[in-house]
Amino acid sequence: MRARQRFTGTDWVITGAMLLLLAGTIIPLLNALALSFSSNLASVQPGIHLWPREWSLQGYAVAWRRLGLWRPFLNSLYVTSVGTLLHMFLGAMAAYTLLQKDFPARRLMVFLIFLTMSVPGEAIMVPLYIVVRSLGLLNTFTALIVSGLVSGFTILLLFNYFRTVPISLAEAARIDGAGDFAILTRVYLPTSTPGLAAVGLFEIVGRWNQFTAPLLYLTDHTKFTVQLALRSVVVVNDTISGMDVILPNTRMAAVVIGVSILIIVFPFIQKYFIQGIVLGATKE
Amino acid sequence: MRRIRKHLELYLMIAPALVYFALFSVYPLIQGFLTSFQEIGLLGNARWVGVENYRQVFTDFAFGQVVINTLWLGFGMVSLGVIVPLIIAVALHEVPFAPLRKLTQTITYTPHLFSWVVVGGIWIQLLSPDGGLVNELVKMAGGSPIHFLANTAWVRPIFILLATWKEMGYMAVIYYAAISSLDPTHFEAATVDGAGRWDKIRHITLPQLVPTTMIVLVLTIVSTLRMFDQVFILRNAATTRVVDVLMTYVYDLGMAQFELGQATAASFVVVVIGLALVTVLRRLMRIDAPSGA
Repeated sequence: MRARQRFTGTDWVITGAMLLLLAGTIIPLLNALALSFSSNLASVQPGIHLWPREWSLQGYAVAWRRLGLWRPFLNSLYVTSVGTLLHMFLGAMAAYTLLQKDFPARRLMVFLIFLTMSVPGEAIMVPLYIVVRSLGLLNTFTALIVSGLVSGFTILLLFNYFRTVPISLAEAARIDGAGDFAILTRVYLPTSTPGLAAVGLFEIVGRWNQFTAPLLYLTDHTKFTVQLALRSVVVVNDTISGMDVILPNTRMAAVVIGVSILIIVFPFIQKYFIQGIVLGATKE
Repeated sequence: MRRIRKHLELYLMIAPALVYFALFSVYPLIQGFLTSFQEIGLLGNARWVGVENYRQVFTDFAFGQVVINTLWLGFGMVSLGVIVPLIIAVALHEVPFAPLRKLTQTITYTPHLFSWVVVGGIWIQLLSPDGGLVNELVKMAGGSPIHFLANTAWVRPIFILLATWKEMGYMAVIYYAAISSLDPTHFEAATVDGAGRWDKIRHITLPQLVPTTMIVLVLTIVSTLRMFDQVFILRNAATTRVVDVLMTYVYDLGMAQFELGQATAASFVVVVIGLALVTVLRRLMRIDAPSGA
C-alpha cells in the first residue's frame, strides 16, 4: 500500500503514541487477568500486578463454587443460545417476506422497523416492565429470551444480504414446487452465511452482556444471569455485604467468567463483526 | 380472501415479528404515554391526573440535577467520543508497521465487547484506594490514595474517561473503514504536487471524513441520553447526586419508588428530547455539509 521509504521522525512519534494507546488498553486487562490467577495472599499484596506473583486458581474456585457463579453461567448459556437462535430465525423469516414485492404486510413491517429503531428501548423501560408483568413473565427466562427477540437492525441486515442472492435461484426452487418457507431454508439461508454469522455473533455478544433486562425482570437469585450475578461480586460499595470480604483474585476471576463466552467467540468476531459494523454504520 | 390464501405462508412467517413489535414495542409505547397522564395507586387503580405528572417532574429538584449531570457527562463523552477515535484512526492509518496497526485495532476494540459490569469491575479494582494499580502509582509518586469513584470531584471525569476507553476502539474502526475507502488518486496527486503528510491529512482526509463524523456525533449523542448501565453500576451513595442521569432517574422513580405515572412521564420527556435533538442535528448537518460530500 505505502511505498517503501525512510521512516521519518513523525513516524516514530505516531508509533510511540500507538504503543501508549496499546498499553493504556492492555494494562487494565492484564491487571485483571493477573489478579485472577493470583493466590489469595498474592492478590492483596501492594504494588503493581501485571503478572501473577504466585500462580493459583483459588480465585476461580471461590468464584465458581463458593460464590456459586456456575449457576448464572449456565443460565446465561441457556438464554444466550435459545435467544440467539430464535432471534435469527424470526429475523430471517421477516427479512424474507420483505423480499416479496406484492406482499401487503410489507409496508407495515417497514414502518414498524423504522418506528422501533427511532424510539430507544430505555424509554419504554417502565411500560415494558408492566407488559412483562401482566403477561406473567416476571422472573422467567422467557422474559429474557423475549427481550430483544426481534430487531429491525437484524431484519434489515439480513434483507440486504438476501437481496444479493440471484432471483433465478428462488424462481427455480418455486418451479420445483417449493413453498416460501422452503425457499428461505433451501436457497437464501445457505447462501447468506456471512450475514447470518454477523447477526449471530452480534446477538450472542449482546445477550451474554444483557444487564438491564435481568435487572428488571428477575428477583429469584437462582435465575440470575451472569452479568447480574457479577454485579454484587465486583461492585464494591461502601458497605461490605454481611459475608466475608471478597478478595481481588476472586473478583477478577468473576470478571473473567463474565467475559468467558466472548473469549471463545473472539476469533470469529475479528472476521465478521467488523464487516457487520461497517455495514450497519454506513446504513445510517 | 384469496389474496390471504396466496400469501398464507408469508403471513405465517412474518407473524412472530409482527406480534413481537405489537406487544413489546407499540403497545408499551402507547400504554406508557397514557400512563404518563395517570396516577397509579398501590392496588393498581388508575386515576387521570392530566399533566400533573409532567409538572411534578419538571419542578422536581432532582430532575433538574439529573439533567445537569446528563449534560455534563454527555458533553464530555460526546466531545471525546467523537474526536479521540478520529485521531486514533488517522494515526493508525499512518502507522508504518502493519502488525502494530492490526494489534492496536484489535486490542482497543475489545472493551466495546464487554458489559459495563465487566468494565466497571476491572476499573473499580484499578482505581481502588486499597491496592488498585492507579493509586499504587500515586503512592509511588509520593501522593496519598484517592477514592476516585467516591469522590465527587473526580467521579465525573472518570466516568467520561471510562466511557471513552470502552468505546474508542469501536468508533475508530468505523472511522478507519471510512479512511480506507477514500479514493487513493487524491493522495497520489497531492504527493505529486509536493504535499506533506500533514497537508494531506488536513486537506484530503479530514474534509472527506465529515459525513462519518456527523454519523458518529449523532450516534454518540443519542447513546448519551440512553446512558444507564454505566451509571447504575458505578454510582454509590457518595456520588449519586452528581452522576445520576435521566435513565437512572426514571428507573429509581418507576422501579424503586413505584411512581409509575411520574416515571413514564419522565421517560417521555427523554423520548421527546431525543427526537428533538436528532431532528435538529439532522437539519443542521444538511445545511452544513457541502453538496456532494
